[in-house]
Amino acid sequence: MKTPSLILSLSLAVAGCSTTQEPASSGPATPFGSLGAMTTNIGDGLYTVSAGGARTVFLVGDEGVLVGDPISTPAAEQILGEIRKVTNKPIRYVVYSHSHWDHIRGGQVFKEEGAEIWSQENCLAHIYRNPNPEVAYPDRSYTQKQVLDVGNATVELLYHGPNHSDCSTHMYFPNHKIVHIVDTVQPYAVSGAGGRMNDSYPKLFVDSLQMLEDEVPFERMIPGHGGPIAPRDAVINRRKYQQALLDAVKAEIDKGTPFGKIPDAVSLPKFKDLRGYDQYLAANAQRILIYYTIGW
Amino acid sequence: MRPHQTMAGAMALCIVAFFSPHSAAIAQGAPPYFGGPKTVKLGDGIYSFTKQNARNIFIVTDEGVIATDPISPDAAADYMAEIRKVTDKPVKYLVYSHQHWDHVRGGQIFKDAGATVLSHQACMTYFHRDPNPDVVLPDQTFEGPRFDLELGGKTLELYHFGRNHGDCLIVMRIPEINAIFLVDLVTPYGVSGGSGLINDFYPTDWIRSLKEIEAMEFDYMIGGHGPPKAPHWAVTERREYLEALMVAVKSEMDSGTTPGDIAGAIRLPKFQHLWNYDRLLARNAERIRAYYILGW
Repeated sequence: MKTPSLILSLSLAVAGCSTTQEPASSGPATPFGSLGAMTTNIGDGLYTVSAGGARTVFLVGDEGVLVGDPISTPAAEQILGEIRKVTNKPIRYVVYSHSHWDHIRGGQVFKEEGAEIWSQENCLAHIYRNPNPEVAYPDRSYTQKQVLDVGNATVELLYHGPNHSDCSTHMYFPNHKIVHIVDTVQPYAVSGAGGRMNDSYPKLFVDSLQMLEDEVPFERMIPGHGGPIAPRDAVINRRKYQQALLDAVKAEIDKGTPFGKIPDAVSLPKFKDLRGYDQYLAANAQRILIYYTIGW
Repeated sequence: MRPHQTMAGAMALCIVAFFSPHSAAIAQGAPPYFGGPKTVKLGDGIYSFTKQNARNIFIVTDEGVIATDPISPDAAADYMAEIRKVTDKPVKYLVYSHQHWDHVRGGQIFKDAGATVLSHQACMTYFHRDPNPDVVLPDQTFEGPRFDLELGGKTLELYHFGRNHGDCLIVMRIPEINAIFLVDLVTPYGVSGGSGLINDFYPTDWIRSLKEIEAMEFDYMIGGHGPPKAPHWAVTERREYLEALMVAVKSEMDSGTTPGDIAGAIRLPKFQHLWNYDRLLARNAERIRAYYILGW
């Protein structure tokens, strides 16, 4: 069993959906240049790839391949190259984790291979309202649950309501008991990338993770940045952090602390070891304060 | 010649002059509105009320009153008392501008008095999925881009421009005074205020909506925050500010500035007279940067 400390040591220093980290044009940047794509074989046909500043997955079945986020055009080309190292089977599906451009550019690379692109239906409004020449439109969408099969290998696309966005798919691999969660959970980290919780639904976020925990018997998770894998506890910990933050901000409001002082007044010693705690706790708290003020 | 030029129109001009962007008070960063009287008469039976930093309108007709955003339970009691100072007619309608809690809490006192609570249909999703005990659910909704609410020979024109600030905001036009009640899309004479984080805005749809609002027929706007009157060009000024901000952030990103330095590097000298420019420009820029990275 992997321990949280091991996971932490494996994790890249990337916290949350990234606005402090630029979408790179290729693999993780190092002082020596780009590392290109890095693939980890999880076993039984499931792989995870880090490329272009984000992480995705692919599943190889008897009849073809299912890919998660394409990330960006150059990253998608690298991911396709990684897939071709292990199989020549056709790319059947691409599944967008949500609508954000740092994860879903480059789908055209797989579409040209014959892939059908899927997303949760709420993503369509965002993708159509904000067209990006690098973002291919989904061919199919689902509402609550969709099972995709690539031949003795299935994935369940599950929608548990708004969390990091209002169209995030939890991709569950039942054979592996692994769920791929993009941006909603960065294992053992507070909400990073400036800490503003871009495009998140602070209270529904807790409900969504609770629903995932209640309904899905996953044992591990693969995140959308850093990684490659973390135990189920990482999800539980993130939910508890979010709830503790909501409670702490509400307590300050109820106590009459002036609004301007609330972000710095919040302290959550129980979570002080989370990555980004010192840097982003106040910014996280400010976002929660906005939630209590306007309901967003 | 404007068909609806009135005393109110003339007053608006005075306010424009006083709060001109070149006035010393604003250049020094002083707020453009300091509170003033709670209730201002804008025309025959047409008033604007303000409390707790938010503002609404009400319209008195022979058959009853149309009230708008109740703001909060505390403000709503005060609002009702102000209405009662000018009329004994029943409050027939309470119209919500959008779903945010800093505008729509406190409707119960109007509901108890028999008012029909009205919002755009798109707000219902939010009211249902994240209920607030202080927010009374609408009794009546409308879909589509326009609904004319008629009472006692007067009309309140309700316009929906799709998503911009959330996706259910309505702009209310009062033909008798040729003015619009415009909540949050424009807070006159300033950069995007509050926390500066541009809460719940879709930047490109915001600009599109502002262009559509600029094309409307009106002499002045009544903001959901700020002074009771601001000129038509306040809408244009906000739109031009946003466009300039988007161009500046994009060009800074394209020029290869270190991601963490971009927001602080933005300068918009043409808009430095705006209230909160020094304090909140970088935060506005940070939000726009997230748009270019995430498409959100």
